[in-house]
Amino acid sequence: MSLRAQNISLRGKDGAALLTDVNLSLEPGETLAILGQNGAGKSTFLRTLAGELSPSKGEIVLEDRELSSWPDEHRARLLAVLPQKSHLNFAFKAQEIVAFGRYPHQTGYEQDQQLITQALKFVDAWHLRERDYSQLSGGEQQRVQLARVLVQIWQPVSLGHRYLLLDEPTTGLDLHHQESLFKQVRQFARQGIGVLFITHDLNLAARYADRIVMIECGMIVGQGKARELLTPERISMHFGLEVQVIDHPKTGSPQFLVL
Amino acid sequence: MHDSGKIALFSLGLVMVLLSTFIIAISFGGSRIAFAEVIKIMTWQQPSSVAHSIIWQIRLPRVLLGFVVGALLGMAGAVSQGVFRNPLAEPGLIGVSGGASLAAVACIILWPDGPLWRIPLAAFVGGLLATHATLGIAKAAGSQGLTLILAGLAVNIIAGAGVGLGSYFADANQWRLITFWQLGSLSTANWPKLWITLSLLTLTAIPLLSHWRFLNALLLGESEARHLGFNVKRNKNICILWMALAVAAAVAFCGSIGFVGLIMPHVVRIFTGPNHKLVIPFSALAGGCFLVVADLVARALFAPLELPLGVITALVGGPVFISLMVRQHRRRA
Repeated sequence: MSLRAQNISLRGKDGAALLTDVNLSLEPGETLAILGQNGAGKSTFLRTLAGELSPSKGEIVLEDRELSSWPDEHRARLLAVLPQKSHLNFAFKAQEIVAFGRYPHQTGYEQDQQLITQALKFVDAWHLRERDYSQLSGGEQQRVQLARVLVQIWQPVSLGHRYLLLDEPTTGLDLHHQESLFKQVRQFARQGIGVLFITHDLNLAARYADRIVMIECGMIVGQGKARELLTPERISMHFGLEVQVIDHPKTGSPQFLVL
Repeated sequence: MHDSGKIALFSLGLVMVLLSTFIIAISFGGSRIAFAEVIKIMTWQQPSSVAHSIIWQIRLPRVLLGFVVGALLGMAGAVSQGVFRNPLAEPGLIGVSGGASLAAVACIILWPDGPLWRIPLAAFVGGLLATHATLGIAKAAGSQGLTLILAGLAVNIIAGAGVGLGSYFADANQWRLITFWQLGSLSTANWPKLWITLSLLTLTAIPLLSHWRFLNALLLGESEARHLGFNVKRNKNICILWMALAVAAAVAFCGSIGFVGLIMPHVVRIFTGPNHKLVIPFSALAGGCFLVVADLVARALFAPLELPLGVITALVGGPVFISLMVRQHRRRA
């Protein structure tokens, strides 16, 4: 049981290879980070994994069943996606946006309101609930959007395990909220939810991901635990950065100091 | 901001406007009928007089048809703005009404003595074809914001030329009908037309109202709506289909009455917020009220002369359209 990319390749409209033979399995309860430079194909991979783009070769399998064969509403009860940026010019209240996350469910108003309250408190946005979403700061909007995708898969469902895909979720967040977002996401993952996130931040990835996957030119060029994968040599090769690895004083996870 | 108190106040206001214009509109006309008498006749206390037949044969169907047509236009406007994620995407501006008018006029000329329902049917087909033409052109031209409106303008020009061409071949009787079409009017209202239009309102309101969740999700973006479990393409097509039928029903007997579908959702959002669960039904209600008032103004302004209804709605709608356009630009800039 997992969300799996089986040998997928994807070509662009001009025939250029965007993804080549990607194999990856996201297991329930694990937090997985995707690292890679701009244009490496991270977002394309995430969108393919979410079923938004269909691979020209290979298939995406959600809980032992091909992703595209899931009914849309059932798929949405298992798989929530936070895209990079959502523009919205209409004056919805923050809590109304979060309520969108309950659309795939038929759990009734009372329960939905409870879950929305929990999710808003969980992402530290409860005080924003009555505010006009379009007037919030970028970071506040991002937290509201996070609450929306969390509430979509908040409770266990009989259809299978739940998965959450986040495309650069900390863009626009201040340092404090970057840290708390990843703490929240990892805490959420511990309930048996498979979480995959894209990031540029090696330190955040090393601290919060159980497993890291590096993508370059639409191919997986390395994966594993931060300590084994992110050696100074590899970082120099793939990111063009000279770093020194030090241990995090509290968690012991490797951290990277740019030299 | 938009709490239930504000919504209740808005509903109350609409109902009061509706009731008072309803009485005034029925009392007002070529032969004035006192308010007291109107109420007496309406409550069956004074049967079979001249006033009685004027009210039941002429004025009541007209006022009711005005309300139903306004409701259809308001509802179609709210859905259309949602589906195309464009606050200017009014059915009249994106070619739906133009296509529907052209098909209805063609139907009148080519099939003059058919059953009444042939006109809404033809209008439906024409409106749907025109919508797809507009979408096709907008897509080919890059489909960004105003391209949809420009594509609609192109389709409207072609449909307008078609109607003009039709009027060239029409006989005097048909010609009068076509002129009336282009400006919009409720003056030919009668009970059969009201029943057909009312049943189409009921028929289209059910599927359109039930898509409020989809339309809300779509405001976030197509991929967000998809991740929330909606088949975006199918849902969009369903909404467009029913929206075109609603417009066709409005156009079929009253011609193209512009701008109701543009203005009403914007007014409604001020009171209810952007949630389609409220915007769609309230746009219908407000559209109905607005058209009853507009028709009363059209009849009263230069009485006994009657202005075309489309002129009144365009007089209000034109400036609103300009201000919306400027506001949309400012928001982007």
